[in-house]
Amino acid sequence: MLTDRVTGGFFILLGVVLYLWVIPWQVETADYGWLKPRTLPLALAVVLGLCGVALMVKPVGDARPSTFNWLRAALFAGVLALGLWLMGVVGFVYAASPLAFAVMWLAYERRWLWLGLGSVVMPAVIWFVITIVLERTLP
Amino acid sequence: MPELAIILAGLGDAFTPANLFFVFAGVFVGQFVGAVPGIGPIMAMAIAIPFTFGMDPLAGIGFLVGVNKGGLVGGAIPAVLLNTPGTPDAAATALDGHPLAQQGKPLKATKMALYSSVTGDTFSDIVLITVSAPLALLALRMGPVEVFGLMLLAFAVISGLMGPSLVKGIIAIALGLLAAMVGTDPEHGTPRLYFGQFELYDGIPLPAIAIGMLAISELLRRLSESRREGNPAVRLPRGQPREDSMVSWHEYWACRFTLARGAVIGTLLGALPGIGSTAAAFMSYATTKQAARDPSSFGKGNIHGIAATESANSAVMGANMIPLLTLGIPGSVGAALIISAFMIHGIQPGPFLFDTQGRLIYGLFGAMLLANLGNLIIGQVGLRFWVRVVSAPESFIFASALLMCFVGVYLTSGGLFGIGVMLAFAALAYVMTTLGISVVIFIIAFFLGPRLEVSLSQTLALLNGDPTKLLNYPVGLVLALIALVTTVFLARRNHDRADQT
Amino acid sequence: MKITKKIKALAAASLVVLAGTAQAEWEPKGNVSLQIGFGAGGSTDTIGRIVAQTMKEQTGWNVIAENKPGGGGIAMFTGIANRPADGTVIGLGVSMPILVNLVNRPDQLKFDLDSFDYLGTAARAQLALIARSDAPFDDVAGLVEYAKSNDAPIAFDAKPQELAMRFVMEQSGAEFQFMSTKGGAENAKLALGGQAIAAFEAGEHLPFLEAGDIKMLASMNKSRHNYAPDTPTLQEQGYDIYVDPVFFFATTAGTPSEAREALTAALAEALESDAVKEVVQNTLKSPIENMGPEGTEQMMRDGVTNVGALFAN
Repeated sequence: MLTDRVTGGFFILLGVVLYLWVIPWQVETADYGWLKPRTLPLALAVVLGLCGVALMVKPVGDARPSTFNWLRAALFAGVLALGLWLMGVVGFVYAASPLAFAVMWLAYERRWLWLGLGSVVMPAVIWFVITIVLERTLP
Repeated sequence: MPELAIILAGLGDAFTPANLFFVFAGVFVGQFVGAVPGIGPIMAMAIAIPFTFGMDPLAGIGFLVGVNKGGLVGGAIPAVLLNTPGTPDAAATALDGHPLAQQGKPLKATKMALYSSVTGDTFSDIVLITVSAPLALLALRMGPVEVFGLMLLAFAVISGLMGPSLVKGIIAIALGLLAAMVGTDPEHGTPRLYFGQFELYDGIPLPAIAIGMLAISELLRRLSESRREGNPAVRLPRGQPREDSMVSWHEYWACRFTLARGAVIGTLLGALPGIGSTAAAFMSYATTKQAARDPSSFGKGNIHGIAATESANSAVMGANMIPLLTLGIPGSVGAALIISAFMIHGIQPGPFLFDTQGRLIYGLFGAMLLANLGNLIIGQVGLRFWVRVVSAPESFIFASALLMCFVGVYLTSGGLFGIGVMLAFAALAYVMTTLGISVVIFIIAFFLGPRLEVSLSQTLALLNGDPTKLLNYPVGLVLALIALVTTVFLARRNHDRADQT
Repeated sequence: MKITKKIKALAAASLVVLAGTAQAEWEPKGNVSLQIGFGAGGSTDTIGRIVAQTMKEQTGWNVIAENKPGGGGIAMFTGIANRPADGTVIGLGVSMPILVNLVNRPDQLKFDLDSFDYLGTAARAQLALIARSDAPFDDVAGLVEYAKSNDAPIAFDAKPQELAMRFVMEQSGAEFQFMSTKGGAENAKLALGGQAIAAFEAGEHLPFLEAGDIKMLASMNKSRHNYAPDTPTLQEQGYDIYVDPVFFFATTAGTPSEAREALTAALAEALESDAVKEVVQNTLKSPIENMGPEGTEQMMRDGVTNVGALFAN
């Protein structure tokens, strides 16, 4: 119930911020035509705000964030974001192996055979198929 | 309609050893690539096109058709086995396919997907071969007003999948449509909501959103629940009774109405350019669920759910060829890729095609039917292979799937930026799931959003400020009316059910 | 197949080296990336890939085609303008979307016309204004007359097309309605289905023209089309405006002259080859038209003036 109320509050805020600030800033105006660039985005901002109000007033109560492993999911998401950053700096060849290794290690994989297959053989196979067989470039 | 001799000669061409080889090779490549998370049939086709520069037209186009059809079957495999659909049209397949796989019946689930897919595909191919001309005329009559009515109907039917809360369903739709607003606006061509990122000028790349929200967020959830035991990604019980690893004729036959409904929905939507297989799959799923005697068994491994989605999304592909061959209008990205293959060989699809290239067209029809057969044969072996693969430890499977999603999105959606978008939307999907806001509804709204806005803009231009002109479009009005009735009906039914619980 | 191609390319390259021709004077360090400003599968993609493949075979350089979609080439050219000028990147884009953005929102772009060294052009897209063959008019004047007493929805898929018709509207006093679509194929569907009274087409209409289902009202380009020499341009019909999308190649400004010359020569040679000629003819229905470096730059500078006129109204 509380989660739904907070969610409702968030969507009211989102609707207001979109309507008053983001859309006027990021969407151009047009002086003719039936469907202007801003027409639908503004309508959607209103809908989101109204839905937020509805959630505040009559929460559904089916949100159950406690059943999810938020922290661990955030940890893996962080690893992926780090992997993406690394790929931008040193390229796929050097970033893929550490990324795969980190993901597997954090998923409690300790068997060296599988760790090797996942973090050495698999990236190598992907690299070979994409750059040699298909002649596409990787980061 | 060309002479019988030309038809027979064309069909005969499809069966030459070289063409046979390329069609089957295409199916093999398509199934394999489609089954790899993060790389779908569209990308497989985009990569394959340069290879067809030097081929004979029928061999080249047959190969592409094979890749396309194989990719559709392959796309269902990760959806069912890992709950990580690589394309949105397989997302509906995961709804019942994955629960069935988790019950220890991955082979049964994937086989049902394969048979349903081939059934829907063959149905729409036969429609294409026999009655494409009248259907193409029908498609021409469906102008902007009618398409807008149809979009309303699609939204109404799909809203039946919303779950208990109407408000959260509307939030999902609004967020999805808002994401679809990013990019160039349809009427004035001005950039919207792109925050200085020119990569967003054409909108948020669809593969990045689909893979991020459907596959990566699921992988995050599964990884976050990983335990120390080193579980296989999918468990295959030992000494499984035979009926759990196969689909009996009896089970298949019991789904005949579901399959037929899916095939018809898919064929009709496929003949109309621009609506696409995702909407068809979900519309078929939603109507099947509403029509079932036990709607509550859906989402828990009901094979009717698999039959409904796979027959519909595969039927779209065959029917997409109707506007393509008769009018030169591609109904989907896959069809657009096939058109470019035609054009590279100097063949312009259009009204004369059946007269000037009759033999090639009937060769293509032969190749399409062959590709369906190829799907059936190669699928039998391929499914066993993939089920074996995913019985490897989940850490290995998930890490490999993540890398492939990275690479797939890098190649299809604007490089590293695309991967960033993918990760951002994966996080959004994770949060939405915990809050009870449907990710699937978001994706459908995102998918249909641009077409909805364009057809609304076109409709308003046609009306030119005079609502009474709507009376000139009775078909569009009727479609909008059915949409309204459906919405009211579903809302009341939802409400009644909520009261009972 | 791939391997034999590689061997052939290597053999060709070594022959070139042995013969000591001019091309051997500059060699790219590593790969040459031919960036395509659109996604996989469209006509630009097709042209880019066949040009890259042909250049690779002819020069022995490792030319790789890459898709950089976004904003009709804006994303790609932003990248090219802001990278080191070492002659390892060629961009392939279409003039119109670049010009439209240069004219309308120059402050938001991270490049201008001086950010590039121009290498050449592949072809011109031949843009036509068409109508269904049973329409009660045969040219723009007739369309204008018709629009004075009827609703006249026109299907278009890019802003300059709409603006050209607004220019006509302004001068003639007729009123059109504008239906925005997602591409030439959809324009054709609306025209054939009777929902649009006229529409813009860049090649998709040719089979229908042959079949007699549609007729051509005007060429929107500066010149008449090679397949319809009897249909006058919009300019010839009294409206001084044109839309001339050109497929052009450019690299980062300040590229060393020997590298620039080698790229220009290699590109010109590829565009001369039969394979490229055939694919361009098949996909665009237009002949190869290479304006060369100076011609390309001039075309872009003239384009800014013309597009400025389009948007002035």
